[in-house]
Amino acid sequence: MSFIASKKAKKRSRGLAVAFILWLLLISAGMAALSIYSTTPGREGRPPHRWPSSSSLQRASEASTLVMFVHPKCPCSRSSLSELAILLAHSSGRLHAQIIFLKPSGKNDSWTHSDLWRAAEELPGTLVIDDISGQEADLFRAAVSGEIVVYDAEGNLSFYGGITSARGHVGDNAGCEALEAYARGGVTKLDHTAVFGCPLFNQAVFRIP
Amino acid sequence: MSYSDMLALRKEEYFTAQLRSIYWHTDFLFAPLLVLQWFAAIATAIWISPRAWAGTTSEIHPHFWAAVFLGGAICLFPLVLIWKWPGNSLTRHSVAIAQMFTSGLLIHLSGGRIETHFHIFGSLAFLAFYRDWRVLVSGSVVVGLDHVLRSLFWPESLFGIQAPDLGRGLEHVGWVVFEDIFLFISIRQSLREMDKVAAHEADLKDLNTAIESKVVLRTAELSASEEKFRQLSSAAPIGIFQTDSSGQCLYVNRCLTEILGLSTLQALGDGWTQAIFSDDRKNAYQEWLVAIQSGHDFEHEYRVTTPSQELRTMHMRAKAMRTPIDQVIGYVGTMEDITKRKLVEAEISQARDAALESARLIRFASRFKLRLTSCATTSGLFSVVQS
Repeated sequence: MSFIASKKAKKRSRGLAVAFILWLLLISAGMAALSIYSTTPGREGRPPHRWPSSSSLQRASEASTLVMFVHPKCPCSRSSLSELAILLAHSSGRLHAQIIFLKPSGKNDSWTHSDLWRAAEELPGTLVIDDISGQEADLFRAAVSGEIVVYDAEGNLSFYGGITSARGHVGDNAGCEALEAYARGGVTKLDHTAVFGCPLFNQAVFRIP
Repeated sequence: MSYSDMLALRKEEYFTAQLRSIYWHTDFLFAPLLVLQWFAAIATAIWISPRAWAGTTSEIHPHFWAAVFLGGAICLFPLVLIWKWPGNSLTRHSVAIAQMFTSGLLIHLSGGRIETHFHIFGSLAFLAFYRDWRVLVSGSVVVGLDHVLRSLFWPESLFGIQAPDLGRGLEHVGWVVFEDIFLFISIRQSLREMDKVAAHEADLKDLNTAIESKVVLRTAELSASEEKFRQLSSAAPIGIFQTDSSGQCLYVNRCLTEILGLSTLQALGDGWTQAIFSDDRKNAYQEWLVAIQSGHDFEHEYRVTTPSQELRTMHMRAKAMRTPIDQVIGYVGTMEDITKRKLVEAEISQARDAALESARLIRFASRFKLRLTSCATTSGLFSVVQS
């Protein structure tokens, strides 16, 4: 009897150990998948090297101009705005910031003026603007919510990319570090970074060549 | 096995039992927490990132599915273990690992908020409830491996930079180790205290066993003594009774019931007074009450009527039983049937009276005879008769 019981106990222990390992593998794979999703950047934008002359946006003539493109519904862009707030606080007014919210045709103001819009409006010294039908995003060839382009006082492209380390993640990141260095010294060590966020346009009508 | 070995074994048994109980209870403490964290993860996903957008189209955000399925997978395995094998070593290690993975999930879902990182430290503190340092090691290894591997192979997922930064990863792990050190010390102290308590319990159990066996012995002795008393009491040729401090009869022996002609039940309380002859009852009972109220001893004679309507004379004596502080806790007394003695006494008295009367008459006759013989004349004889 005791032999059978010990055999059963051994079998159960082995079964538990296998289940434990499978469980570990499963949840590790799940976490890895989640990390892959979060750290997979959006399609890279290709902004023009010179400030587009047809843009209706105002470029500062005595400071660098930072333009951020935001999808009003993108949950990941909240962290981009948080990081932008820190960046602007550290740059001591050396960056003239404009936040451009996508307003697709057929959508009214309430669609665009989301909680992200209100959060953007609270950032001091920034201009929050509607981008009707994504015309400005088109001109600057921005593809992903949270994408930033920075032009110097002469209108030359200094930096483009994102200021978060992953989709919707706050915290230290290469984009912010580069732009803070740029704001302090006017030179960027890194001129572009990956952007993590929701696509600004439907895949079917994606307009970046 | 020596006495000290036996004591050490008992201490070990108590210690193990206590530890097992802690494992068991802590498992069930974590069960609702795991479920709560799962719901919290789902709520966080719905609140922060409900939908993923692409232009004007949207779909449910992958974070929501991660919260539902990954969060579920993280907590369901330890929940099943808690349900089926509470207190098991694998169960608590699974709980520790699940807590750390939950921390990772919550940090991820909350967008890497620094505040959410406190979940790791809170979880370690909760895991210390197990009082098993190995559980903390399991949890900390998950955090450590995650940070070291990410630092080396995937730094951008941790710090947003592409260059490997092992130093920073180790810095994060260092804070976890920092907390672990304090928790290890706390666990060690707690285990020492438990060990002391187990030793005390073993000593106490030993003492209790000794006392219990002594009590059993004493009880047996007392029972034997009580039995002896009952045998003596029931065989005694004299009525014996016991009352409480208010004079209510608690015990009567067989002889007394026979004297009074009452059953034991009838004689208890103040039932025995019913047997007192009606002329004597009031007086006897009042004197008994006075003695009780004053706490004095009692001695009285009275008559009782037996069921066959026979009158018997009783001599009742009662002595107060007192505590060391002189408080009366009851009375113990005897009741003796002195009817025969009384009859004998009466007969003796009558005989003595008769004897005295006879003696007086003899004295008188002698005196009369003497006077008669001293009389010389008829007139003198007449005056003697007249006197």
